[in-house]
Amino acid sequence: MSGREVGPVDEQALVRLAALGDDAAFGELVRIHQHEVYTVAVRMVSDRELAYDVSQEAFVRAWRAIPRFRGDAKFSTWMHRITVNTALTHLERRKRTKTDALDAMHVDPEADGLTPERAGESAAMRPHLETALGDLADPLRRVVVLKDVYGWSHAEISEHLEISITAAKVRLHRGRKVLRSALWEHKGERS
Amino acid sequence: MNATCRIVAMRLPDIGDPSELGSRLARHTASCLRCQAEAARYRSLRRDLAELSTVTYQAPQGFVSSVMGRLTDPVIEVARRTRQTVKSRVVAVAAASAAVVATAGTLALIVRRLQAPV
Repeated sequence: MSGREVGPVDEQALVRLAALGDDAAFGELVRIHQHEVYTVAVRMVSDRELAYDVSQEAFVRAWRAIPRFRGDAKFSTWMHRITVNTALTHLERRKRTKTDALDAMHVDPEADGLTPERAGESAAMRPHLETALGDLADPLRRVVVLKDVYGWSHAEISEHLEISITAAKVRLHRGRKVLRSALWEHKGERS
Repeated sequence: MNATCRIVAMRLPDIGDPSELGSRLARHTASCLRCQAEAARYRSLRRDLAELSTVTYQAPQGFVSSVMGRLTDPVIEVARRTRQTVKSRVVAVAAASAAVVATAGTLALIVRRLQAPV
């Protein structure tokens, strides 16, 4: 996430003001969370143009729903879920088209406490992983992204994708196998 | 690759560490370089996927103003208000219909009682 860091108290104040119809406060929330929301959308739909529409609509949906946001979860978590649901709606409506998903990435390896060596190694292989992830079939990619990238539980995935927990596990298994093959068989061994 | 290696390879996508394989398969993996390499690949894959959560794509220029424009977009507002109006009209028509049916039922009951022989 880039932009000015806003503490949890400040953000709660912005959320309260936005819930009362203060569009300037909501605009500040959009500014703070735009990249994060756009990234979730890109990962879910694997298409930057569609991701743009998804993330825009996600914020519009959030604006309409924010009076009912009770603050049980963090605003970012709430936005994340709205974005995933919006992406699923768009994917149902439009057939996926692919664009290059590798350019204009902002990388913040220190945010995860990576060592410089590990960060370098990870950054070197990231384009391959991003490509392989983008090439996954939609149903597999959604589950892999939600579970392995964003750490959702099988129960949460099952609820949001409206599939059984068993189906979520099967898709995750298949998705990981496809990624493993794409990274180590088709492109040769990685260093 | 023997039969045990194939079983290990089938299980590895679902587990975090070979120790979760169960004692027999874990013992096999401890002595099988092929299975150890396969386990290392899946560990690396899961770690790299998790690290993607720290990678952020930059939203295109003008993203915020575009969102803010959509919040006050008259077309969207009209559509939203139209939906609300239609919804409230449907509710009003349903309520009126229910009232008419209830009134007619009550009248029919009264008429029947009045016409009934004492």
